[in-house]
Amino acid sequence: MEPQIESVNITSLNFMVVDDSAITTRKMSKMIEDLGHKVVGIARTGREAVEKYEEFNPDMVTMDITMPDMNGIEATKQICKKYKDALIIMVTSHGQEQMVVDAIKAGALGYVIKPFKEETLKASIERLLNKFWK
Amino acid sequence: MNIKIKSLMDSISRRTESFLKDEMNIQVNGQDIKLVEESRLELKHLTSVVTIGTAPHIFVIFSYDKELINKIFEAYTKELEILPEECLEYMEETAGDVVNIIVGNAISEFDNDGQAINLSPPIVIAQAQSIAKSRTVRFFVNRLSTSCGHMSIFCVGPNELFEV
Repeated sequence: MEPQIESVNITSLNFMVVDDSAITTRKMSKMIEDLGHKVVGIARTGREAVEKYEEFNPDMVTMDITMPDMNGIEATKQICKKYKDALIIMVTSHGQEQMVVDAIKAGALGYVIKPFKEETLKASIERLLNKFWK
Repeated sequence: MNIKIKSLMDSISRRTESFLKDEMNIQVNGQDIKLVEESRLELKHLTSVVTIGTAPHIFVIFSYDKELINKIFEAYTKELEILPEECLEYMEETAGDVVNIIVGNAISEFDNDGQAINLSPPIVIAQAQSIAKSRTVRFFVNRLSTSCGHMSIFCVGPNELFEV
């Protein structure tokens, strides 16, 4: 079932950034903040993302796939199972079609391929909001 | 796993050249791709490794001259404020990110009979001099010459994946 967002301030969303690369989390956080949003939490593994989701309570998540401990597909599956309104965008270098299918099956609602520009991330965020913000 | 190493090396080489040119503003001046018979290959200043697939794995290794990884690091982190004490860690992260991006993009060209192809998190190796192989694996090598120094790409895998 697709999530239904009841209320969200689209001018400033709270994000959780999930990626095992410290540079990527910094670059991603900067892009998100430059777009007028706020990064409320960072996780460096899929397991950490699952554990911290409730604490950070983000409006949206950017999720890498290739990570140690637990990959982003499994983390997405676990988060979406517990939090039906989770909005997760996969942000990954992994462009294989089957991986995109697996991510969508797990509950991801967007997919951005690295390397990417700020406009690409912005468009993906807006696409999710337009589709799921009721 | 339905990947042949020659096709993988061609895809990685093409994507490395365009990544360096488009994202890092580094020109690749020449490439020398070949299957080598040596059992030991020399590594450069900094090396990053990912593995593709489940067993039998293919190892993809990027090894950089110091000048080249410095230039890539500078371009890759240009919008960030990196403290001097963070430089070494972040340079190693850069090497890991680059191999992950290029190889992750490259495997999108391969159909693995409807199965996703796994990619390991990158490992970065500093101060190593060479890698040696066993008799059951082979090396495919691309030596790239760029406007900022040299890099080597190695694809290492079992003999059966080298059949064209």
